[in-house]
Amino acid sequence: MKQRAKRLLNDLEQEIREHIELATQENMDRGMTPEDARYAALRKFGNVTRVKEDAREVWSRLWLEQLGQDVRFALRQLRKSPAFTVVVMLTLAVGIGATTAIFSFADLLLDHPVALRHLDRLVSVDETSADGQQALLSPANFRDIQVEMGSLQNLASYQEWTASLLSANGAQESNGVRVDQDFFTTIEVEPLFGRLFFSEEYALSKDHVVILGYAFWQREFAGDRGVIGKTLRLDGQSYSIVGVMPADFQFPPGGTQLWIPLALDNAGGERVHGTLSAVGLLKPGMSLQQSRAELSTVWSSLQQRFPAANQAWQLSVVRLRDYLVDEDSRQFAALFLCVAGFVLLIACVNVTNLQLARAASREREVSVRMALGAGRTRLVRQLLTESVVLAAIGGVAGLLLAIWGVAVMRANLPAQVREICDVSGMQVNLRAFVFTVFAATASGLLSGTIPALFASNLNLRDSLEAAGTRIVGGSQRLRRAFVVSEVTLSVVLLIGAGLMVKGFASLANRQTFMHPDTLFTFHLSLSPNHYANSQQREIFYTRLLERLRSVPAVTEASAVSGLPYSFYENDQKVVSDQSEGSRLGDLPTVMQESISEDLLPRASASAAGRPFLRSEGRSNCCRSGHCERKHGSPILARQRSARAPSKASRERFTK
Amino acid sequence: MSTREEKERVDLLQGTLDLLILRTLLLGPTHGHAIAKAIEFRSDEVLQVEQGSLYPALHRLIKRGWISVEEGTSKNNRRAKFYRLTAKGRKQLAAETSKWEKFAGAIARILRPTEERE
Repeated sequence: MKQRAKRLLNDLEQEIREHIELATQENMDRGMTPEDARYAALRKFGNVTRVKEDAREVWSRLWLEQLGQDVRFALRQLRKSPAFTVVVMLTLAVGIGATTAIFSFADLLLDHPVALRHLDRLVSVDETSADGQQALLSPANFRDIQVEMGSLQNLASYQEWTASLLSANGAQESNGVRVDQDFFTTIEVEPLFGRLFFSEEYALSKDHVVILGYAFWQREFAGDRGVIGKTLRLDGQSYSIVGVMPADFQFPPGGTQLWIPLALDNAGGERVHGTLSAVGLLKPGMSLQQSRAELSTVWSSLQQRFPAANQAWQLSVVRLRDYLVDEDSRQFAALFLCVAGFVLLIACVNVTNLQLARAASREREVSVRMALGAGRTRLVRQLLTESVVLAAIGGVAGLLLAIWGVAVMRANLPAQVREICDVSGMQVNLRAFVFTVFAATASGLLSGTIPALFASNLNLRDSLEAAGTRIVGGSQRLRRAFVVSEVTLSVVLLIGAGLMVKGFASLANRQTFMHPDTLFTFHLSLSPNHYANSQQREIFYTRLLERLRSVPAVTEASAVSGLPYSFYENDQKVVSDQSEGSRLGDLPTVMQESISEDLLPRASASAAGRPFLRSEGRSNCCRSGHCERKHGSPILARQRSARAPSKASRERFTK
Repeated sequence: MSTREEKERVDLLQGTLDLLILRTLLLGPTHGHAIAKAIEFRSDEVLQVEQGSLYPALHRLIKRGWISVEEGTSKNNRRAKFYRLTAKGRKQLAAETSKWEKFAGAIARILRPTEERE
């Protein structure tokens, strides 16, 4: 086939020559002069070049050949005007780079917030109250679900945990998690080296073993492989190191670096108070809906058997991915992607404008090529190829920019983002690459179409006769339109960004409110081994606050359950007489934070009323269990001046 | 502007040109120039084929397997390519012809009453 096509095309020239000679001969037989005869024959035949090209096109792989030609030609053209090329390339690189970097972030957030093998099949199971409050599973409920479930291959429980690590550098707070026997099989992870826990180690007396996270291992042991068997002092107790996890393993997200066995021996019968997070692995082929249906049956029977503990709660089964990344974060990612899209759009409009300017100066070139027999579609295709080639170059530069941007984000994203996803897993992956290719092609076509249509729509004779200096009225109008749309887009973006910055600034600088410039904060967690009950904790915090207040530079100090404008854990719905009949989601939400007595009087908001009395809020923070939770309790203290805490005062605090 | 008009004419002829070539070759294998002349002659010179466009059309028909090509000698002893209708091409010609007749007939029926009224 291919061979035949080649021979046919090779012979075509000869064939055409024969044809014209025959026609010439005939014309001469009719009495024409040789010149006239030949001219008439040629005229009747038509454009030889185009005939050859059309014939070639029949053997179709042509468009690919043409593409190759066009690309080579485009590269030659671009090399001829380096300034134009570089400007366009940089413009598109910024647009494409920004979108790709943001895409990588959105991809991380929405698709793989944690690097786990079967993330698609992992679900989170917890209890939800009618008003949308989420709660941990109680151990007894967890056990029963585990026994009766049919749709899950595995169900594992874990408990986040903060330990104070005693090392050569002093005491430091470390994030860890207690995991049950099924945890590692459920999420399917193997240690980098060392081992997982033996089943007998999930018992109270033998559970002093620990698996380290890669970062922790690097930091504390400088990557020493001889770390297995060494001991770690956590909360005043010795834990023997049995394994180290791979670098990309980070679950639950939020800086977990220590995994220890969760021994449920005594607490196993507790049904009312939830203490466990649960992660399950769907059986292959099982859908989330099927699993939900099945588990809700299981839950109904648990409600009937234990109405007191379970009646007010529903079992909620959601994909782990959706559990980690909530709706707000999704919207946040979408917003960012939109903003980046705007930047890319502006870049495209810019490039369109540049190309229009260039089209005017290329008028002669284009008209010469048309005179030589290039069809309009062919010309447009060529010009578009040029534009896409440009965009591809911009795309490559953009990709590099995105890789750099992602590295910067990886290093600098705030802790709040790290809480919900494993930022170290963010990279420009295959999906992001495909996205870049798509973005580059789209912007090439987008920015090239109008200039190409414009450039190929010429009156041949006019532009051949003119010395190429003619100004085309239509193009001027078009370009003005583009400038207008460009400015519009930029203004939209600027206003959006400005509002966001202003909103944040007014939040950060509310002088009438917290006076944040003289506030500083730290948080600490108390080892349950030394501060077993709330009374002990209360005494500790009271003493700590008293001592803090006695420091000359400090005017006031207070313990809170959560810092203002940081993550909060207690959502409460406000129900009033008017709210009857309204949907739950429409009810106003307030954040509830517990504070110790000293914060309100002086730091305080202009709220009417009086501060709490000591008798009303006896260390509510400690009683509500916050101190045992992951973050310990933040302490707020106010300095006399807006200076950063001096080294001396810092040292005094650490005592 | 001139380029656009040309293009439209070629487009208009494209389908029919294939049919005309097939019909011409029904009389026996022949070479390109003869096909062009035959079309012009048989249509009483009404159809002015841009002769060059014949060749891409021939290639297209070869590709579809409706005609074949062979080396031969023309009347004045020159080597030339001879195009021959294949069996498949014959079938195609029959199909296309009846389709064309239906089409032309339909158009004619639509046009006739208007003419008569005048």
